[in-house]
Order: sequence, then structure tokens, then C-alpha cells
Amino acid sequence: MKQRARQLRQIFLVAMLLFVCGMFSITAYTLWRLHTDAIQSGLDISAMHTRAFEDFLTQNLHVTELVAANTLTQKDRPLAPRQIENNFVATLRHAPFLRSMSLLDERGRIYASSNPANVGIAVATRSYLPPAAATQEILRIGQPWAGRDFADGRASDARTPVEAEAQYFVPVTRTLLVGERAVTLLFALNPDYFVNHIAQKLETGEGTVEVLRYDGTLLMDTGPATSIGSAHEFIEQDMQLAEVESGKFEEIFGDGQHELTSYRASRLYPFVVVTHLHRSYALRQWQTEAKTLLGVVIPALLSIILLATAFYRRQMQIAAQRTEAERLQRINATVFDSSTESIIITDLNADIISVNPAFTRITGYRPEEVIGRNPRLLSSGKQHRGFYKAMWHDILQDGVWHGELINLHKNGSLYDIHMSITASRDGEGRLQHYIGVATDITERKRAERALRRESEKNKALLRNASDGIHILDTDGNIVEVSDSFCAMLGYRREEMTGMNLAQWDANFVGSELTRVFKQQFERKQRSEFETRHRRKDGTIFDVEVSGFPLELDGKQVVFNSSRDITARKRAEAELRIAASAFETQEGILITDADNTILRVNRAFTEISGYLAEDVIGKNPRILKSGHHDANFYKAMWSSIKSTGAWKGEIWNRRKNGATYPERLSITAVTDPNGCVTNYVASLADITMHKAAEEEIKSLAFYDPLTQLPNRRLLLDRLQQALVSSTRSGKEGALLFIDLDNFKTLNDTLGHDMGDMLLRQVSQRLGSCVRQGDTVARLGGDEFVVMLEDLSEESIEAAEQTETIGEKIIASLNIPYHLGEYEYHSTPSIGATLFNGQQQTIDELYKQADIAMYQSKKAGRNTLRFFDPQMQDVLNARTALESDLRKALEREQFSLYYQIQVDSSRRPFGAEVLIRWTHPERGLVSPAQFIPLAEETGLILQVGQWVLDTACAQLKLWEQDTFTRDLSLSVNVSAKQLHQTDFVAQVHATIRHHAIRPSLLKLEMTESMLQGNIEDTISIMNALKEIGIHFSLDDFGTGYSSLQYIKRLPLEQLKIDRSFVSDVVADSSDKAIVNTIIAMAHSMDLDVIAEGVETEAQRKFLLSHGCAHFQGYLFSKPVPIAQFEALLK
Amino acid sequence: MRKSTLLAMLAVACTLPTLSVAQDLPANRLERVLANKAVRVCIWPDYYSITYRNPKTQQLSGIDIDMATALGKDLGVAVEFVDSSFAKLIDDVVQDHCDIAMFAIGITPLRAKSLRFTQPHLASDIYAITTKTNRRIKSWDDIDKSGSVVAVARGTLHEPVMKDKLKAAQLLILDTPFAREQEVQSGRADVFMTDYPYSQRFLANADWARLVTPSSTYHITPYAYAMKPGDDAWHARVERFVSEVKRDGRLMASAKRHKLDPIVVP
Repeated sequence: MKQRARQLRQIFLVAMLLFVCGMFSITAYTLWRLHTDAIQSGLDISAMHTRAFEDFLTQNLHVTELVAANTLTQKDRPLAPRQIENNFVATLRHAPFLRSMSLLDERGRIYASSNPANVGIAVATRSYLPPAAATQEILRIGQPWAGRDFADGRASDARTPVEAEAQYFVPVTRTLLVGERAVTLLFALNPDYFVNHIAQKLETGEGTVEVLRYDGTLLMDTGPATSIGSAHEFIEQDMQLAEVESGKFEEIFGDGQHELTSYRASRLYPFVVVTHLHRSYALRQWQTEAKTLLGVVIPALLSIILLATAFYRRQMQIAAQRTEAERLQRINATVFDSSTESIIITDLNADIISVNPAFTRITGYRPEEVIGRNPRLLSSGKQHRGFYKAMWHDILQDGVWHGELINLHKNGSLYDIHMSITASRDGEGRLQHYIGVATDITERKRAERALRRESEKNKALLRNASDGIHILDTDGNIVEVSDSFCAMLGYRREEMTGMNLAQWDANFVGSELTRVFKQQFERKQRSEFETRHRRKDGTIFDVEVSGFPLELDGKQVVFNSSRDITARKRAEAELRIAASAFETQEGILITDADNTILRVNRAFTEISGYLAEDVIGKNPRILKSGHHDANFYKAMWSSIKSTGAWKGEIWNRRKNGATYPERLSITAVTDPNGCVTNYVASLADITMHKAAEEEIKSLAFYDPLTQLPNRRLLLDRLQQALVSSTRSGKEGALLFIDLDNFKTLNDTLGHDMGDMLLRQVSQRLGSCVRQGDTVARLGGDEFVVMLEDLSEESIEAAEQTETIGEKIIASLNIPYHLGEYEYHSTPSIGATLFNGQQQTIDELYKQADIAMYQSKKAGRNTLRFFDPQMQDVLNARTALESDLRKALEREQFSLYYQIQVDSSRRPFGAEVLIRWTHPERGLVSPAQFIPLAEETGLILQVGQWVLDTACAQLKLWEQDTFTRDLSLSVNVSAKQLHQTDFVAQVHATIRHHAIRPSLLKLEMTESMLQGNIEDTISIMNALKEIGIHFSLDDFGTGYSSLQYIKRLPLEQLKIDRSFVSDVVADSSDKAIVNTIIAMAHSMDLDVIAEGVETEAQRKFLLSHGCAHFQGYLFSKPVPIAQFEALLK
Repeated sequence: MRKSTLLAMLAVACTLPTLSVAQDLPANRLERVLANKAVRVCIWPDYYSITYRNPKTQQLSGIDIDMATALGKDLGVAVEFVDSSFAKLIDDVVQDHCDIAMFAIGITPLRAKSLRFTQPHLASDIYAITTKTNRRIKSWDDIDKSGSVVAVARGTLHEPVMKDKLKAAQLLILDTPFAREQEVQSGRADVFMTDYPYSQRFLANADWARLVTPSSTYHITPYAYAMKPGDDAWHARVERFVSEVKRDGRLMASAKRHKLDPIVVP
């Protein structure tokens, strides 16, 4: 193990080393490449600068040459020195790289210059490069001069270069051929201009630029401390200028400074531009990059190393853990295999994954037989149904379950185990396995069961012993007690502990109990006695106590056993009661199953006259009266057999031969198997009872005076008669007989005489009718005879009835002897026939009654049959009522309008009058149907219809100016007015039709004012508030109080037609009409006369102040179409 | 509306006595300007940030171009710019080539004798410009050394000041356009003298130039507008204008636009 770890460590270290080395190599290579590139690029930049500066310098010098050419001549004519100088100054203005321009004479003196101070100064140009050539126009460069210009300057040489800070310039000559003559122009070249230019392109730290003449003389230098004019002798050996014009290389200066140097010779002039780019500057970018790269690579590398180390350590740790786990697993495996407890491991679905050898030993199953199967296969089915459910509940709830199980061995035998099942979860709490560990406890269980059986047997013995066993010490305190004794007394066992005998014994008191208890000890043998115990609830019961003294744990105790003898006592009592009960008022007869009499009691002897010895051993049929047929007994026995009992009335025969009714009740006594062992008959003599019953019956159904059937019995018989008539088809008849003037008899001779008469009448009636007919007395002098089984033909039946009726009249006409009086009486008879159930009993009564009254009407002492035409009248009325109802539905009503005119015969309105067009009867007069409508209440609906129709008409008229102001008078009945919601109804109707209410005039009759006048007034006032007008119809016919009329909110009085018709002729009518008109005027009411038929009437009325009329003179009531035609 | 009415009333009120005077005396410059509906303004078109004419576009710009335009607007007249220079300044004003010179004219005793100035609107010290490569002039104190050449433009306030101040250095007085710059760039002069506005604008454009500032206050000159003396009405009007542009912020706004706000005289 350790070796392996060491090996692992070595591999890890080597791998890390290789990785780090590799990374370093890559980084170093990258940096080196970048470095090389930077140097190369530095050299390139240096060369680029060199070329740019050389180009700039060359070009400027070339410009100088070109400028020079134009300063000396104008149109090829030489200029005077003054003009030349002016040209020089003008040129300088645009050439900042020139400080001055001068012209040399042949002797090398300045004789013309932009700077007048220069004139006269001799300038030696011999050493200028390239050397002079007499015939060529060339530019030559001289040794730099210190100073601003030739005037204040001095030429330098290699030994005396220009001082570092001093101003200087570079002299340059240009030979020009003016005509044949060569002249020399001398320029003071301003090096500052070039240095400035270079300084702008090349930053100070970047490097320096030198301009050298071909001979190595330093012409210009951007470096800080320079000696212009000094000689750079190495130039020729370093730069083979003869061969190459340019080049670049790296060099190290004396101060150790690395420079990336490039040089380039001017393409026209003898100078070289040298650029020294500081290598440090060139590498500046590279340095930054290198820093960045290292800044990234090193931390990254360190991180990787750290991570790898951490990973390695973790792996090592895991490996150590795994080793430890494997060790534990091996231990577990050993435990698993060697455990004597059976171990089952299942997966989540409870399918077995693994079992140990102990499992095989206990269950008989080899691992391969159970792996992948459910442990259910071990189930014996002995556990109750909820067992497994509860088990799984515990496992899932608590994660563990312990319990005992009976399982099935492979060989089919059962065995007991104690099992614990644990739900095994992984680190995150997810259920992984169930692990069951089981111990075989079959042996233990067997022992336990044996013990329990023994104990239960004992317990059962004790429990089943119904006797209450209690062991008492010498003081009577409980030492030990059985469950049955506790149960007997109603105490719990723990309550009984320490109880004393005195607490439950209810028979003996005080010293008596002590004595009895003591005797038990003294007798030294079994003692028995009866006593009573008191239960916890206070109830007391009888017990028989048997006990004997014995010694228990060295103490004297008595072992008592109490037996509840309540049932025995009760049985004894019942027996006594039964014995006394047997000797009751009712006769009792007991037979065996074969109906042989076994026993009778004294009452039987009293009732039947037979002594016990007369009947015992005989069959009860000796008692038969012979009143009942075989069916009766058959039914009786059938009842006994099916229900075990029979009860009823039966006629039997006494010993002396007399029959008597008895109430008999027979009960079959059966043994527990249901077999009849005895019959017990209980019988009572009901002779007296029967007599009483008859008496009651006759009182209920018979008239006590005449003994004739009363109304009730008649009714009963009539019903039966109707039924039998239906069946037979034969007619029957009902005769109502009333004695004429019976009341007078009663009043004059007294009730006794009356009663006497009634009795005699009843006797005579009975003699007049056939057998089966019924004579009944309804009360007073009213008798009824009901005849049955008459002919099937009505006529014949009527004749038969008439015959009997006449017989009755004749019989009743015979004078009566009432005491000492002889009295003559006559009957009036009304008869009606009945057949089947066509008529109800009530109808029959009514018909007979009507007929009787007809007979009375006809002069008494006669017979009248009921006349069906009378009925027709009634029926017609009913029919009309029904038609009236339909009339509303079927819209058979219509309104007629009778015009109302003013004094100039101008129509101002109409009275609406209802008409009924009956589909069969034609126009029905209102006089015929209005009273009926009133009677039936239909008037309300009819009235509403009229109101509604009138309002609708008013609405129609509203659209025409001609009819707009016409009013309509509508008659209102008292019933209508007083219906509870009349005001609301009228209001609703008006609103519904949206008419002006003032156009609606309700006509009332005086008769309506009778009754609740206050009510009427309030209703009228309510309607008046809506705007309705009122007219009082038929005024003058009633007897209304003028006082009341004054209070009515009337608009109009209507003079009744009866006054109008005779107004011209009859003076009293004249007076009445005059009065009405005057009264109306005084009450500020309109007045209208109805029934105006003649011009004379109109004139009279008009002349007396009545200006409104209605009547046939103007028009009779007409349908609306005609009415509207009338208006036009 | 109300303003114009007021102006009209004022005009009438002003005109009445003026008219009566005008019959006796020559009309004053203000009336002339209003009558001609134009004001002639002398400028120096080389004056960076003040009155500079861009040679490439011929566009005029600078704080005093703004102020002249504002003056024209205030007077309700057109502005005619007349090219001038410090050398020609007095002649141009006195000889009535223009009604007013507006190019930040430094108030010097000499000028004050011939011209009438408004209150100053700017004030600047003197600055020197040299080349970046000039190793001798490192600070202001290096200027007045023997062998140094100091260039100034003729007629500028720098001419008398430097004449007065320089002890050892040679003074080079130039009068061609941009001559100072050419002399310095070619190395014929070491520095040229200028003021704040010129130096700021110049340095922004010339990559070879370097500013040398006086180590302490050297010679602050107030700048103002100049008119021919003896015309109170005109002077008063212009004086009012200067007060107004100072007060209402037009001067400061323009100064900020031309980066001259450090030298505005409040």
C-alpha cells in the first residue's frame, strides 16, 4: 500500500516537473522570438528613419540648388550685386533651412550676401567635399562653422569642433555657370531646421541621428552632447560606402549602450545619415509584452500546480478512504456471513439483493433462489391484514421497524422470527436499501405459546367459572378475588383490593354478619348459605355462598364462592305467579299435541259446566255448538298452524246443552325445536257482552222511538242498494214521506201524542213495504222508504213505486188512535228513482226532497215524482256562467258607444255599453249576464276589460283633432269599485295607454253608495287625484243621503231615463227633474239626461238648464265604426 | 416693439439738438456711422485670436471680430473691416481710414498721445517664442544675453518696451508679415516677442516653436479699442458698448471661444 502511494507520488512529481518545464520552454521560446522580432523591427524602424531623414535633407539641399540658380540672373542677364542681395533676402523668406546666402568672388571673398555683415569675409572652400571641379555645377559641403553666420562665425576643424551649446551652421557652396563664367554661391545651412525636423519624428529617448560628411566630419547631431565638426573616422571601415549606399546593424557604444544603427548615403550629396535607435527603446514594447506574458503564465502555472497538488492530495485521501472502506467492508462481509441472524438486503423495490448463510439456514432458501425476488415469498399469511401496512408505515416514517413475524420455511413449516427492518439511506437522505435482520425465535415462541396456553387454560377455567371466587382474611378483607366476582359486583379488580365483606353483603347487618362469617372459620368445613350482595351501582341480588376455611401463606383465610341465584329466585317466583295465574276468571284448557285435554281450571268448569274429570283425556270437540261450519274450524286450525295462535268468538255448548258465545284464544306451545307440545286455550263467556253489544248497535243504527233504521243505517243501506242496483240493473226508488201538519199535533196535543203517532206510522209503513225494503225515520215527522229490486224499466219502476206510494198514503190516511183521541193525518210523498250510481246519495236526497215539496205545493196528501226540468233551469245557469268565462278568453265582448251631445247637438263624448255576442245564442242582453257576472265575481274581469278597451279607444282618438277631446263614460259596479287594488288598476290602465285621465268618466250608481260610504269616498278621492271624473248614474232612483252625495267628488249627475221618459207629461217627474237640475247647479255639477228620445224632451230639459243629452234621439248605442261615422 | 419705439423716441430726442448743432459743426462720427449705415473697423489680420484672417479661407476670426460684429449689431449698421497693423495704426485712425480700431490695441503712452482709448477689455504680459532646438534660450533670463537676437514687429507695443528693456541682446525690428517667425525659424534671431493671444494661437500651429514665459510679471499692457480723439459722442457710445459686452457676458463668451478668458479685464 505504502509503496503504491510512493509510486503515485513519484509519477505525480515527474508529471508536474515535465509540465512546468514544458511551460517554461514554451514561454522562453516565445519571449526569445518576440525579442528577435523586436530587434529586427527596431532595425527596420531605424532604417526607415534614416531613409526619411536622408530624403528630407537631400531634397532641401536640392531645393537650395534650384533656388540658387534663380538668384543670380534674370532672363539670362547677370544682375547687379544689390539686386542679387534682394533676391537672396526674398528667397530666404521661404527657406527657413538657410540662414544666409552669399556670393563669392574669384578670390573666395563674399561680395554679395543676404546678410550685409558677411560682405568682405574670405571663406576657404578648398577642403569642401567633393573636391572642386572647374567646369561642373556641383554642390560641396564644408566643415561646420561655429556662430550664427559667416560674419560672426569661425570655421571648425576636427581638432577644434564647435562647442556643445554653441550656435553653428554648415557652409555649402554651389558652383553655377553664368554664361562662360563659373560663380560660387555660399549658403549658411541652418542645422537647427533639420534637427528640429528630426526631433519631431524621433522622440528624445528613441535614439539619435547624425549627419556625417563622407570623410566622417560630423555635420549635424541630435544627440545631447556632441562636438559638431569632429571626425568620425570609423565611418569608412564600417560602411563600405563605395559599395553599398545603406545598411543596418547592431552596435555597442563605448558606454555599453546597445544601438540599432542604420545608415544611408545621400543619393546626390556627399553625406551620410546615421540613425542610432536605442535598443532599449526598441525593446520597450517587447519588455511590456514579456512582463504581461510572464504575468499571465507564472500565476497560471502556479495555479495549475496548486490545483494539481490539491487534486493529488484529494486523490490520495480518497484512496486512503477507499482502503479504509474496503477494510470495513471486509469486516462487514465477515459479520454478514458469520452472523447467526439472517440478514436480507433489498433494493428500493424491496427485491432481495443479498442474503447471508444464516438466512439460508433459517428459511431453507439458497441465495440464488431468492435474489431478485420479493421477501413476500417468506410470508406465511398468518399476519393480520393491516400488519404489513403498519410495518411499511413505520419503516417509511421512522426508518426502522422491529417486530415479530411468523414466516414460511421453504419446506412449508412455519417459524417465528424477531425482525428489524431498517431503511438505509445514502448521504443525501435518498432511500437506497432495506435491510432486514431476523433472529429465529421459533423455540422461544413455542415455549411462550405453551406457557400461554397453560395460563389461558387456567384463566379460562377461572373466567368460565361463573361463580365469584373471593378469598377473605379473618377480618373479612379481600385477599384475592376472581374476575368473575369483580364482574358480578361491577367493580374493577383494583377497586376490589382491600374491600371488606361488609361493603358488598346486603343481607346481614353488623353483628349478624360477623357471626355468620365467624361460623365459616369455626366450622372448619364447607359451609353454604344464601345471602344478598350489593353491586357497585347499588343494586342488590341474591347469591348462594359456599366457602371453606383454609390456610394460605400461614394465614387463616376463607375461600368463598358466590353464585348469582337471581335467575333461580325469579323462576321460583314466576312459578308461584303462574300457579296463581292459572286460576283466573278466564277458563283455561290445556291439551297435548294430539288435542287430548290435559288440564282445565276452575273458571272453565264454571263457564262450561264440565268438571275437570269430565273432560281430561277427551278431545275439546265435545264443546262444539254446531253453529259453525267446517270451514270455520279449518280456518281456525290453519291460523294456529301458521301463526301459532288463534283468537276469535265462537259459539260452544255447555254441559247442560245451552249454546253460548265465548271469546276464545288458542296458543300453541312449542318445545325449543319448534314442535308443538301443547295447546292452551283461554276462553271467556261473552254472553253478557254480546247482549250489550246488540244494545249499542241498535242505538247507533235505529231510531229509539220507532225502532226503525235511522239516517245512518239508511245511508248505509242506500249505498248498498246503489251498488246492488248497478249490479242487477234494476231500478230502486227513494220516497220521502212527511206528515202534513205534524207540527200542529205536537203543539196542540203534546210530544207524547206526537211520539205515539210516529210509532203507529212507522208500524203502518213497515206493513206497506215488501220484505227487503227499508223504512227509516230521519227525525221529526220525516220518514224514508227505500225500495229495491224494482223493474229494470224506469216507467215500470215508477209505476211500482207509485203503487207502493199510494198504498202508503192509503194506510197512513186511516185514522189513528192516540190515547183517547182519534187523529187523522195525511202524508206528502216525494219520490225519485235511482238506477246504478248515476246519482250521488246527496242528489237523490235532494231530488226526493224537491219532489216532496212539489207534492206539498200540489196540495199535500199526494205523491210527486222528482221533475228533471227543474234541474234544467239550474243547469242552464251554470252553462251561462261557464260561457261567460269563456267569453272573456274568446273575446266575445264588444263595446257599443252611445253618443252624448251638448245643447247645440255637438258630440262631446259617449257612454260605453258592453255587448256579448254569444256564438250560439247570439247577442246576449247585459241584463241577462251582468247580474250573473256580479254574482260569480266575473264582473271584475269584465269591468277591467271594459275599462281597458275604453282607454285604448281614447288613445286612438287622441291622434285626431276631431276626436281628441271626446270623453268616455264607463259604468263601474260596486264590486269592481271595492276590490282592493281598483285604484291601482285604473291608474295602471291609464298609464299603460298614456291617456288624459280627465277624458275617462266613471259612472257610479246610487246603489253603490250603500254600505261603506267612507270607503267609497276615499277610493273616489284617490281616483280623482289621478284626474278621473265621476258621474252619478240613475240619479234620483235611490235614497242616497244628499249629505253623502255632497261629499262625493262628482263632476256630473245623470238624470235617470225613467224621469226623462215622462218628463213632458208627468208633472211629478217634471218637478223631480227640475230639482235634480237645480241641485246639480247648486253643487256646481254638470248634469246630463239619459234616455232622451223626443225633441220635446230635449227642449224641456234644455229650457230647464240641462244642456247635455244622451238617448235615441241622437243615436242608439252603436259599434265603434258606426259611432265614428256618426261623428262625421 | 416697445424697445423700437423707445429707440425711435430716443433717436428723436437725440437728433433734435444734434441736428441744430450739425448745421454749425461737422457731424460727429456716431451720426455719420448711423447715416452711412456702416462702421469701418481697423484690424490687423495677422493677429491670432484677435483679428486673424486665415490665409487659406480668407475668413476673419477672433475676439475683436466678434466684438466689432456686436458693435455693428448694436448700432444697427454694417461692419466694414479695414486692414491695418500696429505700424499703420495711428495714421489709419487719425486719417479717418476707419471709425475705430478694434484689434486689442495695447495702451501705450505713445499711442495715448494720438488716440483715444476705450476702457481696456483685455490685458496681456509679453511672451517670447523660440525654436525647440535652440539650446541657448532655455528660460526668460537667457534672452537678454550678448549674441542673442530678439525680433519684434514694428509698431507693436513690444518695440518700445523691448528697446527700453533689452541691455545686451540685439533687437531686430521687422515689418514684413510673419518676418519674426521666419527669422527665428531660420536661426537668424533667437526669439521673437509677442503677447498672450498671439503666442497661444501660434504655438498651437507651429510644431517647431517653443514658448518662453517671463519668470515674473514682465510688462502687462491693457488692450482696448482706439478712436480718433475729440469725438465724445462716438467715444461715449463705444465706451457704453464695451461696458455692455462686459456686463451682458458677450465679451466673456467670445473670449472663452477663443481661449482668451484668462486675460479678460472684467
